[in-house]
Amino acid sequence: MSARGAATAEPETRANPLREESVTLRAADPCTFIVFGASGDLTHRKLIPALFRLSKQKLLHPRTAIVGFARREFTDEAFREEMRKSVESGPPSSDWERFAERLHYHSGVFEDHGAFRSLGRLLGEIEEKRGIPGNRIFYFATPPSEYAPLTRNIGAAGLAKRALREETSAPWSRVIIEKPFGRDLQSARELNALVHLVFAERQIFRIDHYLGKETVQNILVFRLGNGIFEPLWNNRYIEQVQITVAETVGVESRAAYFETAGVSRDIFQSHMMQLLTLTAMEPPARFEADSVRDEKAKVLRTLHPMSPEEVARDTVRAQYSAGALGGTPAPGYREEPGVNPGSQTETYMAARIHVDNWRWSGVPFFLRTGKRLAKRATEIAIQFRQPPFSLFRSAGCEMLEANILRLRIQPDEGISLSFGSKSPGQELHIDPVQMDFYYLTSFGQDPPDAYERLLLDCNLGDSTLFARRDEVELAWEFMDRILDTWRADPALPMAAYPAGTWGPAEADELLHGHGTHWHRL
Amino acid sequence: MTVQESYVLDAPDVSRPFDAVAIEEDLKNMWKRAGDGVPTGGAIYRAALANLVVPLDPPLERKLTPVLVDVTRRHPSRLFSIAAGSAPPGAGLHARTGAICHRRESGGGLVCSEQVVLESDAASSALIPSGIRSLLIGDLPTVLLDFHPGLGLPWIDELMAMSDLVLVDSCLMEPGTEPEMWRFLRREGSRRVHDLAWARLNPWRAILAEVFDEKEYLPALGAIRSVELGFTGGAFPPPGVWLFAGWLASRLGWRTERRDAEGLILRSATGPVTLAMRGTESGEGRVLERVHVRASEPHALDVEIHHRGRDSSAHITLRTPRSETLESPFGYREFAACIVGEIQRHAANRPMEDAARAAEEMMKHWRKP
Repeated sequence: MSARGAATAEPETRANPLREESVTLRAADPCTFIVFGASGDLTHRKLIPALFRLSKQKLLHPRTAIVGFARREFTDEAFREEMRKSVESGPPSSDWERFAERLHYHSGVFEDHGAFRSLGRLLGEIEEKRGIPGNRIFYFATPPSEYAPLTRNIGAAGLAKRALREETSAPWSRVIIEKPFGRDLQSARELNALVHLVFAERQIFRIDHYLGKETVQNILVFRLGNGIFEPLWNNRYIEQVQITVAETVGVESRAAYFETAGVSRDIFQSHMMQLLTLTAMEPPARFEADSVRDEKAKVLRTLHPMSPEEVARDTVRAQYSAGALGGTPAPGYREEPGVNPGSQTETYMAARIHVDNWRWSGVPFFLRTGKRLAKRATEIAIQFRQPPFSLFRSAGCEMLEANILRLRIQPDEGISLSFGSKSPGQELHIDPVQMDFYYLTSFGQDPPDAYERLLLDCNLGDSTLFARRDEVELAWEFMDRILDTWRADPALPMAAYPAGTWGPAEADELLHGHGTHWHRL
Repeated sequence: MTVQESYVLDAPDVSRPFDAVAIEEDLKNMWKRAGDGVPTGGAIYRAALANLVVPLDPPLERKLTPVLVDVTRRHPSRLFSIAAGSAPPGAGLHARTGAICHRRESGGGLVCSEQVVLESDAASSALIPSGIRSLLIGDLPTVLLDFHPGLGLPWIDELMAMSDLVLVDSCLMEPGTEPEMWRFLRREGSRRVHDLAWARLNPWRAILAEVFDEKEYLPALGAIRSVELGFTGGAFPPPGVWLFAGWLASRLGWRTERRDAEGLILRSATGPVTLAMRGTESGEGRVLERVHVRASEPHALDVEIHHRGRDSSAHITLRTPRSETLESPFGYREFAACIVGEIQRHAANRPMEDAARAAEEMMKHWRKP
C-alpha cells in the first residue's frame, strides 16, 4: 500500500542522501524480533518462512536478529536446525546460513519473571554484538491465555520502551498480537488496558493475517482506484452483499482452543468483520494508517445492534455432523478428538447484518462462515439491483439474472463480474456470462504470503493493515449482543449440517424474502 | 531456471507468410491443442501482462533466448521475437507462433506466454512494425527491448514510437558513445526509456547506501576525499561505472573540475575529491567490481566493497575508523530480473537522469588531453 511510503521515516534514514531514491523499498530499521511461542505451529509454518523470505529479499536490515522464546530446551544450533525444517530440506543453502546467523533461542516459561530478566540480558548481548540500537518487536505467537503474563513480564523486566508522543527515534518497541484479541468486549478491554500499561497504541500491532492478503488489500484499490465502481457502491445500485469464509478443515489439533471460541470468535469477529468494513467503508481522507482505520471503525459503529429478537431471526449457528468431504467420510464435530461429546460450540455461523448509514441503508449484508464446508473459499459477492424496467419481458425474458461482482480472496484469487448476454441464435435468450480476472493468469504468479507483508510493515512502523483498539472493541460490542443472546436463550437452536455440505437449511432461510439464495462457490 | 521447468508449445504450422488473421488463428488452435504431450500436472494458464517486442540479431538470439524465457516466467507476455534480415532475399515477412510455459512455483500446472516469431528478408524489415501492430494485445502495454547498439534504423524507430516503454542497454554501445543513449533517454523521458546498465547498478547503490545508513558513518559522506572504482573488461570504464560515479556526484553535489594523473578531480562543498577508475582485463564482461571510499578527519572512514560475478554476497572491508570485515548480501539479479524490474517500474527516474548528466560531464573531462 502506498501508506508504506507515507509512513514516517526515521530521521537517520532520511538524512542519508544515498537513500533518497527507491533503490529498494524504504529501509527497515535494524531490530530484534522476539518470538514468544517459538516452538509452536505458527512460528514453524508462517513466521520463520516469512522472515526467511524477507531476509532473502534484503528487506530485513542485515543486523536484524530473531530470538525464539519458548518452554522447550534448545541450544541456538538446535533451534536453527529445527527452524530450517520450515523452509528447506537437503544441505543448508547459503541463504539459510546467512539467515541462521540471525537466529537465537532462549528457553523459559511465560509466567517466570526470571526468564524475562535473563532474556533481557541476552537481548542486550545480541544488540551489542550486532549493533542493533535496541529496537524490538515482540511477537505473541502463543495461545491468547498467555498474552497477559507475557505483557506483564515484558513490562516488569523493562524489555520494552514505551513510546512518548510521536515515536521518531530509536530505540523503539512494538508488539504484534495474534487474534483473537479477547473473547468478548469485557476481556478485550481488559487486555487492551493491560497491554497499554506497557505499550502505547501506536506500538501495538494486532495482526489479522487476512489483512495481509493481496486480494484483501485489493478491495480498496478496486473500489477506490477505478472510476467506474465507486459511483455504484451504494444502496441505489447494490441489492445485497454476501461474504463467505468457508473452510473444509475441521478443528484439527486446535480442539481445546476451538471449543472455547467457536467460529464466531475464531473467524466471524475478526476476518469477517474486517472484510465487511473494507467493503462498506467510506473513502479515507488519505491512504495512511489512521485515516483508513478511522473509516473502518465508522462502519463498525454503524452496524445495526441486534436485539434478542433480531438475533433469533437474523443469525444461525450450527454444528457439523458426520458426512463426507471430497469423497472421504468425515466425522461429526462432537466425534472429533479433543471435543466434548456434548459440545455446544458452533462450527458454522451465518448472519444478516445491516449497516445503518446513508450509503448502505436497506442493503442486507449476508455473512457466513463454517468449518467442514463443501469447498475452501473466501469471497465477497456484490449483487447489483435489476434494471428499473424489464425491457425484454415481451420477448419472454421475464427475470434476468442479477449482475454479481465477486471479489475472490482465496483460492483462485481474483475478481469476476457476471452480466447478461444474448445467446447466439434467432430467438432472444439472455444468459449470464462472466468477465474474469485471475491474479495468476494476469500476473503469472500467486500473490505473496500475508505474514511476509505484515511483518515487514510492522518493522517499518506502518500499522495500516493492523487492527486498532477501537476497531477490535467495536467488533466485540457487536458480537457480544449475538453471543449473549445465544448463551442466554437455550431455546435458540443449534442447527446441524452434514460435513461436506454448504451449511444448514436454516441459513438459507435468512435470505428468504430477499428473492435470492447463497451464491454457489 | 532449469530447462526441465519450462516447456515450449509449438503450433504445428511452420513459419508462414505474414497474415495477422492466420497467426491469431494459429494461436487459437495452439491453445485448443495445448496439453497434448506436455506433462502439465494441472491446468495450462495463458497469461499476458504486456506485449514484449524484441529485435534479435542472430548472435544476440543465442545469448538472449534463455534470458527471454526467464523474462516470460517472471512477467508473462505476448513475446514478439524479430529476426530482421534473417530470411533469404525475396522471402518477405514470415511469422510462426508458439508458447513458452513455466511450471507454477506453487504447483498445479503451467503458466504460458504466447510467442510470435517474425522473420524477414532485408527489404521487408520496414514491414515489421505494421505486422506487430496488427498482433498487439489491445490495452496491454507494449515494451520494446532494444539491444541494437546504436540508434537510427527506421523500423526500430517506428517500433520505439509505438511502444509505451523502451528498454535500452548502454553496455552494448561503442565505448565512449554511451552519452548518445543517455541524451536520447532524457529527450524521450526516463519514464518511457530505461537504461538496463542503470538497473544492474541497483545492488551496488543499495549496498553503499547501507554503509552510510550507519549513523556513525553518515557524516563521512560530507568528508569524502577519494573514490576508487575498479572494473573488469579493459581500460575504458563501462557505462555502469560512469553511471555509478555520476550517481555519487549528483547525490553528493560534486562538480567535475579536471583530470589529473590520479583520475578526475571533483569539487565537493568541503574540498576536492579524487575519482579514480581502474580497469583490469580479467573478470567476466565489463562490470563494476570494487568501490573504495575514503573520507578525511574529523569523520575519517576507509571502506572498500568487493563483489564478483554472480556472488550472492559482497565483501566489505572497513579499515577506518576501526578494522572490520563482513560479508553482506548483495542483491545480484539475473539479467531477466533486471529487465522485469524495469518493466514494472513506472516512474520517471530522476536520479538516473542526474547521474547520466554528471557522467557525461565526467567523460568530457576524461577525454581531454
